[in-house]
Amino acid sequence: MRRPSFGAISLALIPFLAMCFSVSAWDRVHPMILGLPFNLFWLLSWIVLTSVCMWGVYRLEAPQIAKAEGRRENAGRAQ
Amino acid sequence: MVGVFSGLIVGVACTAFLILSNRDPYGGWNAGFLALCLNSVVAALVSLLSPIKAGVIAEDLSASAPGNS
Amino acid sequence: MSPTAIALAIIFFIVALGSAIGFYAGTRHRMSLEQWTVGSRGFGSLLMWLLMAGEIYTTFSFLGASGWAYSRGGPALYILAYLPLSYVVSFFISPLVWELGREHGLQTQPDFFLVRYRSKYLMAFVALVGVAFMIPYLQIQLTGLGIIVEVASFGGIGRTRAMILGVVLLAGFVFVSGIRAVAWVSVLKDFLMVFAAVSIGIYVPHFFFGGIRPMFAELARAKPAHLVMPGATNNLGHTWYVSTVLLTSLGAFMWPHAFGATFTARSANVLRRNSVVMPLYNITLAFIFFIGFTAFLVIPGLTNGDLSLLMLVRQTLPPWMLGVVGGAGALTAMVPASILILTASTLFAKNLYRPVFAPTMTDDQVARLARIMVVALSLVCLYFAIYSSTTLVSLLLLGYAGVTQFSPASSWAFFGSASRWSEFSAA
Repeated sequence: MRRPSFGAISLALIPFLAMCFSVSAWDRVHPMILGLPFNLFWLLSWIVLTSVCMWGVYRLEAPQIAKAEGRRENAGRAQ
Repeated sequence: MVGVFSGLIVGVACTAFLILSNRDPYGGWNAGFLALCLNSVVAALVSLLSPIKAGVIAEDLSASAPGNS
Repeated sequence: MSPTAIALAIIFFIVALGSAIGFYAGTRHRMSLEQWTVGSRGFGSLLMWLLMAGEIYTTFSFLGASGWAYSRGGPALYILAYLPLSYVVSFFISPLVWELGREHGLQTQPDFFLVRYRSKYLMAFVALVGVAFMIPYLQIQLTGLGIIVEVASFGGIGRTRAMILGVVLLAGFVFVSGIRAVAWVSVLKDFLMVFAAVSIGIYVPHFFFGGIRPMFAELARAKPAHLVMPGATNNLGHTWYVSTVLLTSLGAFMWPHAFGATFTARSANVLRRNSVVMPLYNITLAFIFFIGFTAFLVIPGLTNGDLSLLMLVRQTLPPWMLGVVGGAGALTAMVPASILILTASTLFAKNLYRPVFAPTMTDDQVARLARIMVVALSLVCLYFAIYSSTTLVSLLLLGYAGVTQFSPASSWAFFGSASRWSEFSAA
């Protein structure tokens, strides 16, 4: 199997670091931003940023995916 | 196969035991997560300790690879 | 008309509309087992997105998330984190699962374990565990339906009677429609759900406090501890948060129905693009948290937090709006419940009963058994829903703890033996 590239994996780990492992750093009420407690604001921002990260992963992976799919199609025709 | 199967059985048993006996969370940890860790460890150990079976896994995988089926 | 009659009439109308869409979408296709369960693998981005989205907003997120924000506080935040993270995981795994599914004509999660590990006993065990842990998830939906009708009828229709009614409707719906119909009904469901969540999430804090900002200011002044972990609990701290988020984000894709849903996609890239966009869809959950926190301030003391959203709506909004919210909630229970029950009954018939007990069964007989199982499983879940009193979130966590046990075996299937895979992708 074509393993995902190092760049793609690292980019995909960022949301995990931000939303999961770093919880004790952001789980507090103050400072309140846009009227929201800090932890709620932090998680909501990272929902959006997770999509941004995954878009980056998709861009990084897209060329290889296209290549792999082309190869499979060729192999299918050869049979 | 034997490795992941044993892991799965241990994991499910551990989950069922911890949750049904009201031990979730266990020591501050999510019980299902502890069961998952145990599951992975057992799966890895059993796979490593059964070299003959490991050969079978390789064979199984080649038998199930799409080209051969 | 009395408020009860208005609210119930609107709920009934919405459910009937949803069922009509389902029946229409269902009867246009002839139902083989494959059509019934995987819609003949023809789902493009749109339908796929609907199906996946249909699985996000269940009664759990509607009543359960607000219920935990109300009764537990801070620990409920795990719900905001695990869903986006589960797409990060599925971005990498679901295209591989899809690939194998297309090569081998797979329909279900246990099918996958059969071709990967070549053991019908492993397959049967996976099916058994899958069905067993889908029962609490189904129970959530039934309990949710019961709560909605109970609150909307101002207690006039008891929860048990409401749940029995719900089960009959649900089984009938699943019987005739199949997965494609369910995907289309979720359009209506998600439209109503997002409308209901956003409008109540903005209106209710505004009604009591003049806005979301003053509501949180008041909460931060009066009960700041409720907003952070461990909130109103004594054992759901940061360790629990990290382990729960890891468990549930790894496990979201291990649900037999979510796993099976990948087989309905038209291509692997549809799944990847989905994983990029889907996290954004969880933003609406924020509004549900606003509702739960507002309820914590204005209607404290409910013994069952899962009631908080509807009680608040009933107090502050006109009966027709209670009807719309209730109707949205009812569909939010029925759509995921249909997906769950469809998957569980197929798993039972195709991957557990046939291989172990009756290897000579034909596909048609399996399809018939699956339909019988729809009824049997509905009754089992009804029994549990009537006789248990756990919160919705606890039920979901129980299910997750069970199905996530599949994840080592699933990852091993792809990443355990790299050399095989280079051949696979070249093949």
